[in-house]
Amino acid sequence: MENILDSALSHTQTLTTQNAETSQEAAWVAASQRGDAASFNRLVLRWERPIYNLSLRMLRDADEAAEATQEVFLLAFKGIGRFRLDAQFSTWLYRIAANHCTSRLRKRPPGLHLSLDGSQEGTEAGQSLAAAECPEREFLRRESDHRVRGALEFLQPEQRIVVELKFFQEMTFEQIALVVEAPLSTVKSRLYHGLEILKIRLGRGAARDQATTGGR
Amino acid sequence: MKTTCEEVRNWVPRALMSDLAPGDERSLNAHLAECAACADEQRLYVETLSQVRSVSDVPVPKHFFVYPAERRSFLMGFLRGVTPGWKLASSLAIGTMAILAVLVAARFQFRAEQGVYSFSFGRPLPVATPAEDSAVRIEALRAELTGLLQAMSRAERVEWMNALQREMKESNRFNSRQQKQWNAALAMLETRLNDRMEDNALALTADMQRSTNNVFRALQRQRQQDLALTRTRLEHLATQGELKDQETEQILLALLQAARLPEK
Repeated sequence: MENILDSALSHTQTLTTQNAETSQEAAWVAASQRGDAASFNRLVLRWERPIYNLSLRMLRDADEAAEATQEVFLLAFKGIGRFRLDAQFSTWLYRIAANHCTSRLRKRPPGLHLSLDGSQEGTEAGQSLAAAECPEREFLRRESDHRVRGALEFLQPEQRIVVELKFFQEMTFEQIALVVEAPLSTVKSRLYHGLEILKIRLGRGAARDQATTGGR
Repeated sequence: MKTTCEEVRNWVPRALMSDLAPGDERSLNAHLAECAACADEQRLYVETLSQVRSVSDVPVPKHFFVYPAERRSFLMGFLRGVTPGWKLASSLAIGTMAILAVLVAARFQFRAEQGVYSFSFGRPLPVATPAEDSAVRIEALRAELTGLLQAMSRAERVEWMNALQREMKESNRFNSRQQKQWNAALAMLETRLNDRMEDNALALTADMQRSTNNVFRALQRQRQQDLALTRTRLEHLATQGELKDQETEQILLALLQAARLPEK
């Protein structure tokens, strides 16, 4: 009984925190629409990490991802006057980011595949500390990340953005449909096709790795 | 209904995304319990999702703050964002469009006079003629003539008046000649029309007479035929009457003969 009460209390607290964050965000958006750059920069601080990581996974190049993220925020800053307050800011921002990254991918010459440089990761103090604590696990994690990002390369830009929004931004199908401005059935179809490609690229590799590790 | 492996393989990712109907999910689980190949397929999907979900976010390399000065116009942003080649091409295109716009504006003409608006593109506007007022014109002519007459000497005035009278007579004569010609034409037209009407009337009468004769002849022929038919019938009846009379006479004779037999 106590467990249930604790769980309900925790859920209520989470909802209260979320509501407070949403109203705070709405206030920042309203201030940004009046031309307050400081309020917009608060929004940047709130959303820069997910948008940068989305760009990084989409484009697979740290420099290009940083450039794209900066452009996304600049586009949002310029277009914030057109944003309707009854909509969700995150959906609108993700739509700008998705369109921008997809457009950049389409402009790339065919056959050009940029690899994510390993040195881009692990420069942070926290990661260095984690690596120092358990270097083997950190190495395996990096390997896995690298493999997944490599597999994402084989997806079409439209499939890649849907996979990104579903698994990394943890959106529902309805939210994804709003972001990519496509029907729900199209979103699902893109996701399942993307998953099939990922299964081919990652599933067999994982099985092979397991077999290799087991063989030792 | 038996679930096929193909169906199941389509259902596996949907089930993992909680996007499968409960009935289908039950069928899927039942199939997976029996089919090792499909179970292996499901395992591959689970491993893939596990790997994908294990990817962690990386920290941002810098903050992506924006500054009010960067909120420049669309055109400036566009020009700053494109390569020099595109910059040159777009500048040329904008310049060409501006020149074309000036040329178009130069050929367009507009005029507003006395509440009348005229537009033209390319062609010159027609010369505007002021609205003529005959009363005003006659008054002006009279005033001009009076002025001229006052400025002339008596002899000149008389001579001018005579010339004017001659002109008027000539004009009247011309007018009467014209009138006569018109009258003659009108009379000729009238005569022709009368002749045509008389001819038509005669033709009509002749036609009517011919039609009446035809009708009369047709009626007469019909009457003769009817009379002939009646006569034939009467003759036939008379013949039949005679025959009947002969029969009656023979019967009577026979009866008389029969009445006379016992006397013998």
